[in-house]
Amino acid sequence: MRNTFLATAIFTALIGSVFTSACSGDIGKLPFDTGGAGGAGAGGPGGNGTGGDPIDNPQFSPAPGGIRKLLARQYVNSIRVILGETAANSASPPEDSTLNEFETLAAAELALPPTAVEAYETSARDVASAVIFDPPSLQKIVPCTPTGPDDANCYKQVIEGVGHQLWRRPLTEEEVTPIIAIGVAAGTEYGNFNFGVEYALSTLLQSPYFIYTVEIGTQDPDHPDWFKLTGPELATRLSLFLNDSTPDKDLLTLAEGGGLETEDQLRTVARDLLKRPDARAALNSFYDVLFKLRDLPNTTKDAAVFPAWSSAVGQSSRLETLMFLEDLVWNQNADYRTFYNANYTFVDTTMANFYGVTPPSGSGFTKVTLPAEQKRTGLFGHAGYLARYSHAAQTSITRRGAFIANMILCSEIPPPPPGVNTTLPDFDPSKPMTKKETLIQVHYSDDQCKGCHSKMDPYAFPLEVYDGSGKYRTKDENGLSLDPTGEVADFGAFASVSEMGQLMHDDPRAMNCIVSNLFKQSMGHKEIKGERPAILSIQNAFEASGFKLQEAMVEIVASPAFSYVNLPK
Amino acid sequence: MSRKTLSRRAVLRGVLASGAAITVGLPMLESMLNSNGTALAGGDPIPQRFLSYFFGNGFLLNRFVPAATGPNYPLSEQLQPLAPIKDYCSVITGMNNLCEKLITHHEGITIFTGATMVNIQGLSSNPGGPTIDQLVADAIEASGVVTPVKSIQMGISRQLSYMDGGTTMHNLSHRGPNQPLPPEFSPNEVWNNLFGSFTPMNDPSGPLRMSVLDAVKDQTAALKKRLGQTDKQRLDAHLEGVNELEKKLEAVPPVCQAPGIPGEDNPPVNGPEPIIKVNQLMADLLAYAFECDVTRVASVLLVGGAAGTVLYDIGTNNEHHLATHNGQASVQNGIVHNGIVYQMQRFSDFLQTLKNKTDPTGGNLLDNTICFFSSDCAEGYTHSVQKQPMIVAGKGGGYLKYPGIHYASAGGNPSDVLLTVLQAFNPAATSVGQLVPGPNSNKAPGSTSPFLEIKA
Repeated sequence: MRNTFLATAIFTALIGSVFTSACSGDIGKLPFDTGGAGGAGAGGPGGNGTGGDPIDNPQFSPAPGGIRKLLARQYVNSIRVILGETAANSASPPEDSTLNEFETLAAAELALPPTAVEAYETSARDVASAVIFDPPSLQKIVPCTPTGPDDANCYKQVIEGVGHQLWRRPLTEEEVTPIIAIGVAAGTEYGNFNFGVEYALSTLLQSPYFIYTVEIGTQDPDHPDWFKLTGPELATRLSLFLNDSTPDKDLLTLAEGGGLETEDQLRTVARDLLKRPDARAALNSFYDVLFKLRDLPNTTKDAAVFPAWSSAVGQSSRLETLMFLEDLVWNQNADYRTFYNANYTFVDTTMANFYGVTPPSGSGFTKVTLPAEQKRTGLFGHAGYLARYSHAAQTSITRRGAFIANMILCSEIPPPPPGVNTTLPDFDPSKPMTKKETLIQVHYSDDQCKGCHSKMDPYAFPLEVYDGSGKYRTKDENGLSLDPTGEVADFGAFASVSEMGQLMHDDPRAMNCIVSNLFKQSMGHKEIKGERPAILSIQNAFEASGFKLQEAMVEIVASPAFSYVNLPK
Repeated sequence: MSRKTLSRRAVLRGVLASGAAITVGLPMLESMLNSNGTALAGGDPIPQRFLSYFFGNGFLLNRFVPAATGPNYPLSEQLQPLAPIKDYCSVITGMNNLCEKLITHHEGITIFTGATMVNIQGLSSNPGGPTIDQLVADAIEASGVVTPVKSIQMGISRQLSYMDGGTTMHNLSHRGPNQPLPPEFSPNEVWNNLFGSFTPMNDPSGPLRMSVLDAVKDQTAALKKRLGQTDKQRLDAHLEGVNELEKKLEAVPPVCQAPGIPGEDNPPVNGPEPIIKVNQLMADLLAYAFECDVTRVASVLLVGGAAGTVLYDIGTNNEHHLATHNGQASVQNGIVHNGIVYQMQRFSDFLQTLKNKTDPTGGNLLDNTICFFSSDCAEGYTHSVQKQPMIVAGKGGGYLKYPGIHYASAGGNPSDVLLTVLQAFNPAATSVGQLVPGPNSNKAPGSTSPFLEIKA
């Protein structure tokens, strides 16, 4: 399978139709930010960027560098690695925002509100205080025996040592000196060296060099417009991506010693980092946000309409999807396309009761095959997805379909045209219609509506056999039979959930899309034109691996798009 | 380990080191007024406050627009909740939101910014400029008044839209396109932001914390030099946050009676949210904060546009947003109407709380407040932003007409109203919002001509 879709998309971009916002094109919007900076190497028509090392491709140009805020969990995990569990338990960074479904995009683009700066101060003071009152933590960062509360030399050793880890690079003398002064002032004020450590540590933790990761690099002699990330910058980028944490001492030392230079070195390190348990946690968090799984325990459902739904079902359905992925990506390291056509899932007692199968013995999740008549197929049978993209008292064909179009296929659907009456007709008992029939009548009778709705609604036609809480049903809320057939141009026709899931399994756009989403997650920017050759290369390697998601992550890390940046944004 | 106390002189040194004269949260006693009660004894004007208030998904114009104009306008069905404070309310109808790009719901933000959104992509956008509350907060600061908290953002229902991206739909307050000020949904946290950070005068940690912040500012300035324009702006915002924290640390604890901690976190729930209670708690907290002069600027996001909020209190079990799109039956059998009246009642509760609190400088807090209210569209079922209603409430210390009026505009520019509000805090302001039309547009949504009809 070649990346034919992408090649077509690039060609379409070059002839210009991608710039229209309506759903008139056949393939949806190109998954690249055509307006972004760094697109110097736009290249000639057809742009066959699939062959060879992308770094030698004249069309390759990296995205701008700059600063990105650590996500809240990355902040806490970093403190855990460097200062220990007690300190991490005292950390309370501000909550993350999302921007266009990604926390990493928000972390790279949005400015912090004053409340966040205050939260960082509070958190830094709490962490620093926890450290000095916890002898083992304190011992870890104080390598000297102070001669008194104003022992500047001992403060210097503390600040240089723990500062190096917190800022993920050695501190300059110019940077250390004012922090020593703070340590001396506080130690003197309270008559105790440890209080000096507290305030010095608080300074290091409130610093922009801890709160933000700096990705500026050094100028590349062969490409003066490019900047290769320094070893520590690269180590940080890859630790944050793969482990949601700071590079540990060993990795930082390796990076500082030039051990992260070649693509193969990067692959080796990435594979090591992926073996750590926090790599699983990091990927879980990615899905938790992107698929809005974390909302499920607090997703409101009308108890009269969906009596089976509860906060517990919400939480278990969230875990079902995460357990499925954990098994597929980590335990089996299997073909990622299975996510869309699997005939099995994972249930605990709560989900077993919800789906109507025998509960597992024990408290955990077990792999099961669900009753064939329910037709549950991969993600499209998971109650969490089905419930989250429904309303409180009914299903939503459009929301379920929009999720598939936007998040599974990365085809961006524009908003409804202005001035359209978006009210759907009421249910008329004398002319009963299913929701699908109503939508076809409304959305397909108007060309303005049809253009886009025909590219999202039909995916969810077969999903109408699951109610707004994700429970299987044979008839809709008005007792009408459900017609599961649907068709989307460039995707195909299907007569059931399993046929739709199989087409998704076979659609290269779905695999390109997960690479695209991981790419955004890893670097905090939407793909730009100059990165095309690099992304094609990652997509091809992903395909060649048999669609093993771990390999997609490894190839992202090994990509020149990951190692190089343009001038800072 | 014991902590020594630091001398008060050291604290003052810390305050003075910052240079600027600081106005802090002292109570405004009657003795501080001049003889005719029109200003403070020192000649400073009586503090004026600002509040923006919002709920999404619009109104039903045929049940919202009053039947007559002028000062004695009759309250419509959907305005009925404002009866106890009607004289404080000017209702402006018939103005057309001039946002140049329509996404559905997002364009409501233009009423609060006077600018078209940016970074538009599918159902995502960021506002095109700062929101009115932040323009007012800057104007107050520029006038030399520094309160411990520059502005506070509150949210009531946490169930915001989960289908919309960008920052527009989830934040009523913005300092700029990439700088949302997220609403705080927990009354306990709002209490903490307003009243929880004052350090006792003899606490030595104050000056030490200030010296830490100084070091952070120096580091930030050094980092800025290596960055591009976008990140420089982000770090400028970070520095602004550090400056605001410094002001809090420098502020003398308010002498007025601070309220107790509300004891309500308004956590995310699977089921009914305590909307009435949380709205009231937020109103109580803001009334205290205004009274103590802890802050003069606030915004309240009651229910978001296209939100997942279910208004259980009116006996419905589906989202209010969905009801506005769920067929004429929803409209006719009153679900949409009842939801709008319910939300108008929350707005009225908020204003009444300000009215019921005595302002230490005389009158009540609503006498010295201007509140700007609107939604994200005129009517939810079409998403139309034509004839989008606004309410300007409060007396503004005599700046606004009292009793208020209903003005029925024939397609006026809502940003004219925004400019009028801004001029109450910055009489020198000559414009608001985006003055140059964007591509494919011949009319920019900003304004250079204030709307005088609501001025006293």
